[in-house]
Amino acid sequence: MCPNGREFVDLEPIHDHRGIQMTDRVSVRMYNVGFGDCFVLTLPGPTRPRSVLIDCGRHVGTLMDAPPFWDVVNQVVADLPLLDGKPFIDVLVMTHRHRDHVHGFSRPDVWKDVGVGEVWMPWTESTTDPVALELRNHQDQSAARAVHALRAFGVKDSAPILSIALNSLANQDAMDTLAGFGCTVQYLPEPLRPQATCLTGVAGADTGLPAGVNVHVLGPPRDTRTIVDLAPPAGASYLRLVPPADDGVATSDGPGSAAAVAVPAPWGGRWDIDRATYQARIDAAVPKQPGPPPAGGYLSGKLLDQVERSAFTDAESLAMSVDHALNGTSLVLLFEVGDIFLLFSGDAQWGTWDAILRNPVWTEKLKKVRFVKIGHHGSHNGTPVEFVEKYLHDSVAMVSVSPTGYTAKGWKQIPKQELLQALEEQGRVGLLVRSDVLGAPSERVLRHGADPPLWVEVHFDVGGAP
Amino acid sequence: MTPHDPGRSLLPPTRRPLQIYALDPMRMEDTGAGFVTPRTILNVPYEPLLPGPIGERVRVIDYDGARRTFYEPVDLDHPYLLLANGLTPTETDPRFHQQMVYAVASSVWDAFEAAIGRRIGLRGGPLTIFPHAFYGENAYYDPRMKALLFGYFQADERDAGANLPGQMVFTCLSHDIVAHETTHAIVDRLRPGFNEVTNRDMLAFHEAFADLVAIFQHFKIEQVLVDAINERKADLTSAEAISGLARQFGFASAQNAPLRSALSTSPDPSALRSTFEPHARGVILVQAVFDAYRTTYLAKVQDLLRLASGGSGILQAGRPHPDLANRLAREASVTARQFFDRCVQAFTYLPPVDVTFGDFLRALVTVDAIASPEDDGFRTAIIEAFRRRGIFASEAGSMADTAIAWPRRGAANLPSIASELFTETAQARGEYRHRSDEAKTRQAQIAGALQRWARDNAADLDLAPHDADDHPVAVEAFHATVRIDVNGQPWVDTVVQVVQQRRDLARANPRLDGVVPTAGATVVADAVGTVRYVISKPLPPPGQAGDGAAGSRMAELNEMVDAFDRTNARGPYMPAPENRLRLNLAQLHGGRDTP
Repeated sequence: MCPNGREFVDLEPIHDHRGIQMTDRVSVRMYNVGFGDCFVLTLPGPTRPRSVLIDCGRHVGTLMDAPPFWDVVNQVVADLPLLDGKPFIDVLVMTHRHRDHVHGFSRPDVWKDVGVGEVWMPWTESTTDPVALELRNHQDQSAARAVHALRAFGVKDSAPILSIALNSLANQDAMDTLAGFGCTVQYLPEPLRPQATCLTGVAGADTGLPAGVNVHVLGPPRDTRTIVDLAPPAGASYLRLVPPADDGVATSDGPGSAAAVAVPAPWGGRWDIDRATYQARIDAAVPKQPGPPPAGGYLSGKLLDQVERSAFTDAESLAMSVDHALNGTSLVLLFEVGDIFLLFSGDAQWGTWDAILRNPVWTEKLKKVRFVKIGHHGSHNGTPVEFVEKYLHDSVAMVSVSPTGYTAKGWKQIPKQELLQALEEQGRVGLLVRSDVLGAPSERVLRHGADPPLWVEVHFDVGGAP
Repeated sequence: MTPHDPGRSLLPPTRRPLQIYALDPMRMEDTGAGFVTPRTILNVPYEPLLPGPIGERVRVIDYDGARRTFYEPVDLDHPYLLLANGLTPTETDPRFHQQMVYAVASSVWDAFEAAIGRRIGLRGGPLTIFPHAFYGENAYYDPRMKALLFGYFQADERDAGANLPGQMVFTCLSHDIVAHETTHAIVDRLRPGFNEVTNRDMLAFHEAFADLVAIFQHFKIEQVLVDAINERKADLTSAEAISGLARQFGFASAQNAPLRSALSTSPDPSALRSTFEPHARGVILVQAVFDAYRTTYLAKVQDLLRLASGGSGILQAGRPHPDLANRLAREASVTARQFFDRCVQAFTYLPPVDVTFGDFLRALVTVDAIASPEDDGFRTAIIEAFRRRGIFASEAGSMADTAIAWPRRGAANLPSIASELFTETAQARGEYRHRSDEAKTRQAQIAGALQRWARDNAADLDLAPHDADDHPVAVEAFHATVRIDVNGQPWVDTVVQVVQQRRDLARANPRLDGVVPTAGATVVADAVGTVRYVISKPLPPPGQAGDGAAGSRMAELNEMVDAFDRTNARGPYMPAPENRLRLNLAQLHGGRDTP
């Protein structure tokens, strides 16, 4: 396979995506980043198609490197339509700050020639909103400390948990690249106008959303109950041991300095003894023992392993909570292009979904959804049963997954087979596209690259006036 | 033995006195008497001990998983320590910490056995305690390890709360934390089926029950109450004062901050319908039982207060007379013992799975009606305190104690269960690990007979017919309990816990996603096997939707699975979704991601 070359295995492209031409089509292209998200939405515009990039990242817990991640990112840039001779993104959406959604931005050199019209992020990324600042600071610190603590304890089999914590780090390098585009950044829903949940394309503008396209911002909510959900629990005591995040130790790629965290020795280590000495104390008293010792002795290695594992229970809980909290900040966008409704829910969790499903204005629109990006890589907590059963019919769904290449053997629920099956039942989803599987060739699915593909694309003909 | 052996004509002692901290030394408030931490002596059952201490039921292993080091183990059989009631309480010697966790855990275990009237089996082995397992502000029971793990941590330099900034805080030095965690370990042995959290009350019940045991176990120690009145000017004459004392005891410490305020607030009967966070919901149950305790105690001491106040019942300001203080402490302690015993005895009358607050109320009333057919005030106080908090036994249909108590079975309804159960349990008394082969054979025979009985009578136990593949009827545990009834006669209950995993329902309900619904019944019979009670948790019959209790159980189970899926941060990363409802006290006590 030629990673950077063009190789359409099934069909010639319906339209040249670099060409500037009128089109009445909406296309959604899913890049194969493994456990991560990277989507390009192409919208019909008055003078040229407008491109919306939604996320670009891969989870550190993905072992697979086929296709190599940076080959995929380079392909994203190479595929971008040109404006004034430069690759151009009309709207760059960062749904949330997880590594598996932003890591592609961590190398500014890849993006140095790319122009960006505007950047959209969840309100929790605002640089001026005090609630957002406090929340994010708390999340960043928690993630950094979870990483630090997990590395410091060096517990067996902690790699999967560590990868989850690493995924939640501030990813500042990626954020710097986004800021470096120098364009308008919209925090959604707007902090000062949380009720204003519809963005509309401006007629006559050369870039950005084309006129006639509406984007409904369904999440994240701003109510205080949900904000509580977004804040990982404070007060875990190892937080006090671990230095703050700005010491440069906690990066997703760096090894970190495990020795930097030392659990303070009670009694200054005066009562410390080793296992042999402890065993000798017991053995010395054996003649009056209360019964035969258990198989494996009183100090079996298995038991001691379990105790060592308990040392990182708190760190593990914190890693999971931060993961959950960051997913909860996901932007949920419903693109309305004529009669075509496309839903991108990031990795939104129950709090956000609950608010959406209780809002009759939004549920009316959900009934019209023709395309859905399955949230959180197909795990069960990213897509409520109610949404699948009540609102999906004859839709197209895309799910970005990497089920064979996780660090952790136990992550068998990403994606969740039962969810994928339920999607295809009763005509809810007529076409389910996975980033990792070559489906049968069809007119509706384009692919680039051999097995595994570099990207897959679906498109919709827009009725009504865009 | 030689003729010179001085031990030749001596019997081993029955008790071993051990010193402990009566109040958590880390959370002492300055009461004007300075920061001297009160101590007391627990008399625990005597057994020979290895360094650790390692006994038959309780083993203390001082391994620190965070620092990967052991700490010097205490040898409580050393002559110096035998003479001195063990080590003197101190924070600075881990050997005292080991002594204290051993003493408190043993005393709770002992009190449970005394109250419930039977030995608690060592299902899965003895209880292992790690007094310094990890660095962190947490302590929990791990059902897989059958172990208590206690954390230690350095108090915050800037925000130390009640602690000295930078002070090392040891959770294992709090009597009430140790008692609370030991209770989780005992509940795991009494009702393993409660580890599956199948309704909204269950996590809260685990927490509340452990808190109640810790509170009453503490109030039972009369000397602590006397000292509190005499040295620390505690007042035992009002409801507020009792709550205040409970707070001082520290049961409301590390894991149970909400309790600090909960004990003094007035009840809100609607709170139960809107409070689902396990600790907050558990507080409602703790409040209810503790409220009944205060009512009962204050009713008992009204005559004392009138005598001491010239008839008005209102004492003069200042410290009460030492005689009065002693009598008040005695009554508070005796009443605490009654409440402790009832709460523990109630376990015999709980279903094997899916317990609710309402079930606990019914069991409490049932056990008290047996112990005291003429209500001495306990039942009225309990029913009223529960009612004020919206806790009902809805299916009982009435607030009368006779309706709330579990209905008695007519003797004609069910054939008797294996009557050897009682004699066998009496024979096996005192045996833990060292069960003879002969005893094991007898036990297996009884188990077989009970299993056949349960399968033959499945319908009467509200279970589906036995089916080895889809819905097997299985005996999970059996034992006999012996208490003394109101006439001074032995009261024998022979108890069988029957469970039925409903794999057919798991298949028919894809939303359960692998969770297997379990039906069950606790059968309580008398000494010769005549069935007194069947306390059941039915599920819909095979192939039917089910109505009433069975139907609502399925609805609640579906809701629990959904709630878990929505809110559990670990969900996506869990390898085995069918275990998702499994109790995880580490997370619960850490206050994190519970449904």
